[in-house]
Amino acid sequence: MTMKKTKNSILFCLTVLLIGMQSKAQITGTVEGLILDKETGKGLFGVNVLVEGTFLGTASDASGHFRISRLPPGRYSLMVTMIGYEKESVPVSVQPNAGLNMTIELKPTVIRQPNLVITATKRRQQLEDAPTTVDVIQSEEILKRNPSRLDEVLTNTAGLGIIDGQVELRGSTGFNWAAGSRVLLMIDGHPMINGDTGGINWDAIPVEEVERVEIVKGAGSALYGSNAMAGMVNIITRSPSAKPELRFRVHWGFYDEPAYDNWRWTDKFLTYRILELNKWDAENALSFEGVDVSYSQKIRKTDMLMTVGRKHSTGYHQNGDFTLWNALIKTAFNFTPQIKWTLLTNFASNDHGEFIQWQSQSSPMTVPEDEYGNRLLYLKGSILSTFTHVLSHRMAYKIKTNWYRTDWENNFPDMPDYAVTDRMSSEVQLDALLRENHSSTFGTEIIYTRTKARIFGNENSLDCAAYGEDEFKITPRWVLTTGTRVDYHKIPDVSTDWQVSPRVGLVYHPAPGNTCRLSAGYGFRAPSLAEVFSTVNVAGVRVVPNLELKKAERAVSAELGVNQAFYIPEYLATGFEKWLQPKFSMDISMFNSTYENMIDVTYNDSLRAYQFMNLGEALILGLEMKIQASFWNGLFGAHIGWTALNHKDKRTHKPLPYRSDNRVVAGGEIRFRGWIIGVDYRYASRQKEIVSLFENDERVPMRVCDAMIQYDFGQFDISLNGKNIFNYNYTLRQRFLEPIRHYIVTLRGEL
Amino acid sequence: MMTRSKMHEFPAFPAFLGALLCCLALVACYHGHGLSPTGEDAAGSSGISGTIRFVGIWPDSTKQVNVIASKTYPEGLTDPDALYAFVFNELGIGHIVLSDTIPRHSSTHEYVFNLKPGLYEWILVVWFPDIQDYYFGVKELGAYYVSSAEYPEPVYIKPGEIVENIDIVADFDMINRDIPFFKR
Repeated sequence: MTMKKTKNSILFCLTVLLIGMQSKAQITGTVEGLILDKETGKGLFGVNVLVEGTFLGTASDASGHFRISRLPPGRYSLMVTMIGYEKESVPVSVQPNAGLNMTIELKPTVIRQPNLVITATKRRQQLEDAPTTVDVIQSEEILKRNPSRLDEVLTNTAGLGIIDGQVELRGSTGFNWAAGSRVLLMIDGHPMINGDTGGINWDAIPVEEVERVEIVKGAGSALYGSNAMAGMVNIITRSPSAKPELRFRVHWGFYDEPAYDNWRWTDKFLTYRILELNKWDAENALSFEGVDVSYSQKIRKTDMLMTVGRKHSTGYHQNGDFTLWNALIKTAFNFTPQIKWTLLTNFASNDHGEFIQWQSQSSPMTVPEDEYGNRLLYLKGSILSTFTHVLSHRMAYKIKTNWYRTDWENNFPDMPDYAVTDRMSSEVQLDALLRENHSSTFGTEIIYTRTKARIFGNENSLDCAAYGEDEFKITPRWVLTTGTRVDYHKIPDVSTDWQVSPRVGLVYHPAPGNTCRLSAGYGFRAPSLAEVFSTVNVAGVRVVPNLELKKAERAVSAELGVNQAFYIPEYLATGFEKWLQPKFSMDISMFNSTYENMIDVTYNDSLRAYQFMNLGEALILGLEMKIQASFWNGLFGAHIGWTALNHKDKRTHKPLPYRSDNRVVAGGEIRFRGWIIGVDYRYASRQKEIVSLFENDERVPMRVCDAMIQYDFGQFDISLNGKNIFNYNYTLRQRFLEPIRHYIVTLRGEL
Repeated sequence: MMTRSKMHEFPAFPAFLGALLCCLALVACYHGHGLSPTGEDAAGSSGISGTIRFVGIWPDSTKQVNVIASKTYPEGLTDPDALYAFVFNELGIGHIVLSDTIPRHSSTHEYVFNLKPGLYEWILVVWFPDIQDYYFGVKELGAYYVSSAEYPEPVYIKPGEIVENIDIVADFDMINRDIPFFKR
């Protein structure tokens, strides 16, 4: 009875609240207009127009037109942003039941940083207001590198390394044999962490349909919970275009010869066939190819994007072949300008050979005889639903529901195995603007994971959470963010755990183009089902379950950062400066993380096997510096990022395994008359420690250089990419030689 | 599809300078080839090592003496004459590995036995008689035990590791003992 009364009271309050908001919103005005390129005078498509201090906003259509309705009378500022253009703030005065028409001109800029990001605080905000470091990789940066998987591009980000698909962000993860990630991967804000291993599957992400990737560095558990203890990688997929559009990409590539003759394990290396054997049959060479086709169209109020792709590779080593199929359908139902439902369905199938370890350093591209022919079929499917409703200019809510299935099966003779895992989650998020300078976000989330597997058994876990974050603009120069999240994690018959993850952030803008940020927060990661239940006996590595693995690992992280943009206004420039037209932006941050109950794989003497265990405390201190520069009005651009780490396991006083003390990423490009010529360089110092397997194997720093040349014909572009052009040989985890030199030719078009 | 950047009038000197900078950067990036072949043997990276101490006199009827590493330990097998059947079966499915033959008349022998990584429940020294079907006459001389344990000690070999101090006492008197072969 009491329950029923309580339910009725809640329903009544909600109805009153909603009716109140609707009635308040009845007397409104409209702002509309046209957005043009200041230099060409052409209408711009896809420009974001936001009414500052509200949740209202829109994007311009193909002709550059925009319209924002239901705006209560008053004075506002429109924030108009687009990648590649300078941000504009336009003051407007809205009258009751009246329309306002305007033309806005945007000036092109060579600094291609976005103005708006959404990952750091779970809502749209200006990049310079984010309390932690946010790196953004735009679609153009991804496509010009022609990666077969998205993680290949992420490695060009300062402080980020990828080891066998695991993200190592500022020293966080290292390498855990694909189990457990301290960085949360998301697609459009939906978690895409494997339900069983807690790891990441990059081949489930369609590279061609990525609009941008936001990489947030620092503890994010206050909003995102488990896995976000060291940061988040949010992949924002492309929005369907306003007009019918057919896009395609066709690519073909081949592997060059190994650096040493006695590493040539087959005569199928193309250059060897041509130069030494005088055989010109590329068909039988070690090569890879792929086709991606996508179509997008707007039908009345529904936007639709469909894409399908196939990639095949022979690989450069034994057991290195794969055939990958993926398909994606994204549909957005725009019921009204305020109500939108987006449904994204994604499927990938990868039938690939499995290379666990090399035979020897003298034969690093072949596997031990009894591992030859090891294969794995991996299917992944996800359905991501996002319902957004802007209740008024000061209140909006979002309901996110997703289902992610992973299904794999191997044919290993020593341990044939399979796992079918479902991860289902649902989240409700409410955003409220309490005052012009004060906004809040609240939400609840529930995640259920179940797995049926030989390797893990039939197990499940449940996570429930509630969170809230408050952003207060103390003055136009100071922004204070505080928030916390409470998580409950349960693995039946093994453990239950409560975690509280608070966070505080402070941003200060002392002058235009200058931002100082300070943040501190707790992060945590609950053990994955794989870490608790794995039973593995492959290639001599025995892993046994650890039902005593009950504690989540926790981290306290803090960051202090400064960002400064420099450019010399034309009226102040000297002759040389006018000629050079320099523009710089620089970002420096210092950070530290203290981990406790860190989960890592280690050898258990008494069981004569490896186990995942809570291993104690670790400390990571670091400094990161990034410089981006452009000269001659964007003709020449360059960037460099350096991350230095001091890390140690407090228990053993040794460095943490698989971490590099120094990482450098650098690159440069020249753009003129449709040509782009570019170079990327990545360096990571030698890993001082690894887990005790093949400890005596030689390890070297990573030094990789990629080069590319591209010509844009307008509707088509063609490019040639050389990867690892100096054919540098290195490993990032034991006994796996990273890709040798290879070349890719790509034709991309848009009809 | 790339968004084409603004068309530039081709500025020769800046383009040359930019290209030069790129070339310099490329040269600076070259650091040799990193890892190189070592000549290391494929199977030589993991296994066991230790000392075998022989007790008693080498019989004249000795065909050979070897170390055996078995992945399983036949706890339920009580007939000492059934050892040959076990060895045959397990050899057939690759669960038993036979070492090189130990030199005759050794009193102690230091050995390194290359094995694939994994768990080996039984490491023992075996004797084969000098007869036509010598496998049928296989006898245990001793196994790897720790202190006074009743059963042999399993050994786990991590990938890339040589487990040291797997010392075994091989007693030629065991050839004539009529006791279950697995008992100490």
